[in-house]
Amino acid sequence: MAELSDDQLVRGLVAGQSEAMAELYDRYGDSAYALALRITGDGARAEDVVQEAFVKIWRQAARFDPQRGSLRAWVMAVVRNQALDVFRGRAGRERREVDLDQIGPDARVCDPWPHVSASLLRSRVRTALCSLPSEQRQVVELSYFSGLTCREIGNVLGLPLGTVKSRLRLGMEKLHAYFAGQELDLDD
Amino acid sequence: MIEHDPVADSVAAYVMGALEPEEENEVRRHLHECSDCAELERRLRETMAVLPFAVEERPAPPALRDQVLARFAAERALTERHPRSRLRRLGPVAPLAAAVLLLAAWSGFLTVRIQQLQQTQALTYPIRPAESGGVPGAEGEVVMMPGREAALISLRHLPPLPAGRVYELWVGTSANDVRAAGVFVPDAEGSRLLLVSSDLSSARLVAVTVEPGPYGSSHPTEPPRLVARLT
Repeated sequence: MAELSDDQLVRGLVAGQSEAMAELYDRYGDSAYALALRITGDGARAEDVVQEAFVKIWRQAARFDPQRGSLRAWVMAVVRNQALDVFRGRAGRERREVDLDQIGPDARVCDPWPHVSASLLRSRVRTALCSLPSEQRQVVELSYFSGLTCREIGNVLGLPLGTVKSRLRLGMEKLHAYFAGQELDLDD
Repeated sequence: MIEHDPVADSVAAYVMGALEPEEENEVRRHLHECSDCAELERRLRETMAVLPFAVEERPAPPALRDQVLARFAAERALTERHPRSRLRRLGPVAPLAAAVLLLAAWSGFLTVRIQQLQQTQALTYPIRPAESGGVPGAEGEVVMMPGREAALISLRHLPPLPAGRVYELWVGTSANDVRAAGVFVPDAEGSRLLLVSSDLSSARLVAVTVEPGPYGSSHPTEPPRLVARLT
């Protein structure tokens, strides 16, 4: 059977089909768990995060528009926010729901390689991160994986706020330039 | 290319969700007016979308798949049985009911609300291990809403289940007359908070069994592990 498109899979979720949820999990469950584990640092919490995130994705599935972004990018964004809520105890005071609108006004490009396998992407992204100057990589990781604000990062590292922001932007721009220079076979 | 533009720096922080709320609003407004910054935002969001794949590959525990599917089945069943219009009729308890419908794992807040209900008109019944084949140490309570239109069921110290098995909740008049009320898996601490939102005026018994996952059974396939008598 041909693999379902994002759109077909989401329509199955909206219809409440268990098969669609099983397919969603089979596609993204391992990546979701790995991200949740990286953020929470605890296997049991990571499992809770994945459960919560997948239920949330089902509840919001009707709003998903494949023209505006890839399902993979959205799933991982929901998992990250759920994990940060747990890691930082944000649930009761500062919950930042991942809204489809927050993925970006022109989300078609949000996941530049939606068809590239997770394992290949993982290798490229890790190489890219390692290519950054350590002070930029540190700020990018504290922001993305620990959910710290720039002010908090500045406090932790003893750096002025402007320096933190600058390192964050330079690091992200270098990552983008690195990815843009990669020639990935989109049929992989 | 802007190398040290403070506004561009703030756009990067905005994309990462790393700004304080006030500045976040300022940058959001700016992005509507500045095409250069909007283009920068697009590039950075593209980059951010692949950052999850920087983590080491760690396969999820095999049982997690069943847990996710069981949780999905339970949530879907509750939603189908209890559309929002019904919840609204619950009046002052509606916000609580809606929250519990999510079967939130973070139950501290909800536990406080249960305690508030217990101090009002709600009736509480203990859930205990069944006399034969019960789960030692497990416990909980049924908090019956005023009017018996719904009940909150709090369970604690439930042991984890092997892959392919789920807990199933039953409500009825006796051990031989029960109907399925949903399947669930406990959280990492062995707890779970459930909402049963239906006419419970004739209910005299709440029971929990272990059934095949992820969808449970239409009739109990084993004696109850936990029981609450609603009398």
